[in-house]
Amino acid sequence: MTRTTFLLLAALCSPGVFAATVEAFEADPLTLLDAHGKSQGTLALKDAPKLPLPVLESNPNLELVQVELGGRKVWLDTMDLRLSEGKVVTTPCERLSNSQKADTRNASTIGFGSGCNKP
Amino acid sequence: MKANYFRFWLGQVLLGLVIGCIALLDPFGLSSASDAASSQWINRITASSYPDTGQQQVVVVLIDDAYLMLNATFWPLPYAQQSQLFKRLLAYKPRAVFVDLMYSHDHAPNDADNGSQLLVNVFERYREQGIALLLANTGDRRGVDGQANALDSLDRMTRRALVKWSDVGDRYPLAVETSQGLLETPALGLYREFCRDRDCAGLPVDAAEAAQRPPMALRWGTTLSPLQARSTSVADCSIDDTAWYIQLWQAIFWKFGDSAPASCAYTLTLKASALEANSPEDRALLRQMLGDKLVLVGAEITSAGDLAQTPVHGLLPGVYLHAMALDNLVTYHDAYQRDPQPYAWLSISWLDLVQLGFVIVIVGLRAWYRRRRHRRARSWRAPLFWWAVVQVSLAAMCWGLWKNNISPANVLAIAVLSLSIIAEPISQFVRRQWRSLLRGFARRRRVRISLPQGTQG
Repeated sequence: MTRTTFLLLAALCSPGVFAATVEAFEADPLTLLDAHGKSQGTLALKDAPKLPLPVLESNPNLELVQVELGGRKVWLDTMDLRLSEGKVVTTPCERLSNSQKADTRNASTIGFGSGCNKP
Repeated sequence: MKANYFRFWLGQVLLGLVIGCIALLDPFGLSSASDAASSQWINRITASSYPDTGQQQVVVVLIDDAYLMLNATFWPLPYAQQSQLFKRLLAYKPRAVFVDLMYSHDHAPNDADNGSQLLVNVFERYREQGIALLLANTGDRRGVDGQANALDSLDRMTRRALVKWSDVGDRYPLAVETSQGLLETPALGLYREFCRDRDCAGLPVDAAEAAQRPPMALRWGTTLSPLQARSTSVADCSIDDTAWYIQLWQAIFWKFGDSAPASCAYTLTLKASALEANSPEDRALLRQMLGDKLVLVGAEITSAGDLAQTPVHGLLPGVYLHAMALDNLVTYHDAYQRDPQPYAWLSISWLDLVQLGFVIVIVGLRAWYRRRRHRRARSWRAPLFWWAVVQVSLAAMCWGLWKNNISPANVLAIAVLSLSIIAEPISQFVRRQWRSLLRGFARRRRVRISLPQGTQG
């Protein structure tokens, strides 16, 4: 019983079950990228595989996801896609700041926020 | 009698020469100070009527402290985060982008995961999609005599846009000769992209022709774009203070109010954090704001130091200077406001001579009425009439200059100088009125004192 429950939980938590899928392409043509975001060519939308398309891997640092297109693993920009998962971000209502007064002075230069922690 | 007459007019001619020399030679910067003040206040008074033609085409994306805090990051932004920002912008298909950031030092050399190559990769995608990307360039030779300039890897991937120049005062040049050759400024670079499929009057053929054109005397606007309130809160912007009469009031009585008021920038501004939005509604709004637009990416980071002095808004991040110059080009094309060309090696233009003419007329009128005061009725009406004629002529000149896109004349100095025409007659008039008032008062007092004496007698 314990073993079955454990296996069930493991299966549910595996990436294969919870992985995001690509639900729609939002650019035409799609730019195919490598893992560092370097362009590897384009793919016209008419040649794209049927959706949804499973996401194999993601790189949140560069906002890229890896998918398989025609047997080839490529990276796509998340801005060109609509994914099944991911939080919806709305425009923060930030205040448009005023200019600074003509006689404003700031006699400083930007530096590090903390010390270098060296002896 | 004749000697007195000669002495008087000699004195007046000498006075005229001294004032003329002050106007033309500008000792101690007196003339240029009043010239700058005239230009500033004319700019402020007319800012509310600046047309919005350019505002519909130009957008500033601003990286600010709030963006850094929101993303728990620091300045300069790590390359990975910059690549995120620029690829998000790329998704909205702007017409052209100018990056007002100076990449003079690589912060993560030989680091494939965090190095500048990440940014190069994104910039390459701009090029592949036919979106012009202009990068800030100092015009200096990188590494020669310790001079800094954009990194070679990024420089190769983009078009150079000159952000450093001198010898034009507060004017904005179109192109400048540098140690790297002739370079165009960001406003002209983006304007070329604007004109790619439009018929733009008088677009310079190349940088050499642009360098021959006079620099721009920028006109500034104050009325915010209707789209601005949809992307940011404009609660802090003093929208009602932009009317010309309020600006005029502030100009005259600045001592009693705020001497250096601040306001929101005229150019449509998008905070960098807004590019993170991914809801369908927000993406549609961003597409409307950025699609096919001329976008300038700049920063407003405390202590980063890129601030430009403006006549209307006080201090603004430097990117707005380029944005306003571009706005002027889109609005006026080659008929942008400029200084008149000086004659040959003399740095004197026809406008200087016209202003000198005003000075001669004012000094002449002043002398004429000083001389006549002993001989004719001491009326203040004639000087006042001629003073009004000078004012009307001055206003007509200003209007003519404005219509012909010539930078404003030194109106304030001439207007103040013209007061000397009426100063003497009016002070004479006031003195006479005061004396007659005193005499009348003394007479009445004598009558009152003498009355009781008569009764008693």
